[in-house]
Amino acid sequence: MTSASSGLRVERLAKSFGGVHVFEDLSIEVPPARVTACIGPNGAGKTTLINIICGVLRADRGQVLLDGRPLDGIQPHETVARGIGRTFQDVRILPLLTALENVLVAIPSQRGERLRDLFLPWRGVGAEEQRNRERALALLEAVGLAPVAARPAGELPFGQQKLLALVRLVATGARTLLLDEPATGIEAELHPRIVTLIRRLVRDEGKAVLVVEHNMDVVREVADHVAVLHGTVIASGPADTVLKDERVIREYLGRLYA
Amino acid sequence: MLFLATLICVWIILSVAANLVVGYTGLMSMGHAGYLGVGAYTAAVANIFLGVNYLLTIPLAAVVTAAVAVVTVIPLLRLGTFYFALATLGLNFVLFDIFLNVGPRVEGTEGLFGIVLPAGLETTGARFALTLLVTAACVGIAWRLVTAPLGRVLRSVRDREDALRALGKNPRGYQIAIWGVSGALTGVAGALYAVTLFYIDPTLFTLNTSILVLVYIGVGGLASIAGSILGPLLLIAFTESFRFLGVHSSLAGPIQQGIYGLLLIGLMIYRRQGLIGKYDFRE
Repeated sequence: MTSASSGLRVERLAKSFGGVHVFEDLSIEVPPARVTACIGPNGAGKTTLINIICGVLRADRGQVLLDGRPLDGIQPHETVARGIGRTFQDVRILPLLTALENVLVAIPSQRGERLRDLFLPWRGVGAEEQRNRERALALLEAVGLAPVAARPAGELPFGQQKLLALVRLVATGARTLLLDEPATGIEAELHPRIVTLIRRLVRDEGKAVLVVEHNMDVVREVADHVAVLHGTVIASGPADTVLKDERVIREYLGRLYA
Repeated sequence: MLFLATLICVWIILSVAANLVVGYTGLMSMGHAGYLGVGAYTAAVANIFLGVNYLLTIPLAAVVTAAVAVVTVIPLLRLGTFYFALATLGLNFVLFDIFLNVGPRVEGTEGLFGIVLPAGLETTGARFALTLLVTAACVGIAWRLVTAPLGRVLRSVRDREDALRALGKNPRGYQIAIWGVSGALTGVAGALYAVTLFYIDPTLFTLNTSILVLVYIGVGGLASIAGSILGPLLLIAFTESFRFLGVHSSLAGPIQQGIYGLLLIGLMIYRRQGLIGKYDFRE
């Protein structure tokens, strides 16, 4: 399933803000059917990496390849159409929309969102919406959010909002998922739900997942592959190996996560 | 009385149009009176100078105003909320200037009159029936838009553009589309306004009118179609009711202004989302 050119590949990326180098010569691979975790201290450029992949920021050097083709000049709203979706550290759910509406709005190319189709009864806007509602509800159900489907998302506790953001991302149908701290700052009781959801997406649907995460317990449970970021990738490999690597633990993880 | 009811209908269409962009999409317009003028002048000019049947000038005004609205909003969409609002204010000034200096007028007056009505529309009652019908259609269209999946996207544009973008949807396209629809409805209101008053001049389409619309939807309720109907209905009824109270006109004016202002202040303090609104700008 994984060929040399499939999935997302970041090649020799460099980025600095003013005179501050965030990273240099950063290369990382996010192949399908694998969870790649990116860890490292604050300011190592983990979120910057996601922002560059999604076209929010431009890299100084290097390139991002999707299935072997460069994603040059892509705009943030175009990434989903190319199969790349992201979540945000600060969730950015739509607070006044209900949880269900948050998921519904993520479903791509709906006829009911287009003016030209809205007033043509034969375009089946209502039937399509009905199907989408059932699908969105099923997605919420799978993570235990069905009971709060009708509540405004802004009223949900932070942990549920993070879970909702994840479900919303799944609803976009993106094949490559970039998750910016999906478990950070939420109740430990919700961690298993997040881990299960991510593992299921990878196992059942072959999604390529890049997780940026501070919580090392979650990283241990969810990641197949780990890359440690500190100016560049300083260690990379299977999760068991990297997370046991004496040097990584001593120099980088030890002082941060001990 | 029928004349008043017809006017209320015109204001309802205008309020619904403004609420689509302000309340649902978060695009603060302070220039809708300019578009109302475009609609009114389009209908009047087409009828008076080109002999177009008045009934046909209504859709014509919709198309022309929608086009003007779309063309004028595109350069403004990069601006943040406050600056966008200020720019639409500028737009209102520019359009007013065009009506004043370029707009045709009847010799010896500041404005334009002489719309020729087709058979059957000569009575106030018939014009009211037509206006009511068109108003119902406009409200129906707006209702369909906001209750459809499109309404959900518009509210997302209003609440968090970057989140919508991350979900693969471009806020710009939706903003332009809804601004165009709002322009079309405003154009329809303009065409009806011209024939209801039988006389239009540039002073009808100043900032005052734009602000009045904001008051109507603010009081009725942002992001609410029912609120856009209730707002103009209540406020116009309130204003007009003073004429029947028997208060001397030299007193009625100031009293009415004062009460009006106090009510507005009270509403903004205690019920910012309006009487039946679903949104306030705090969130």
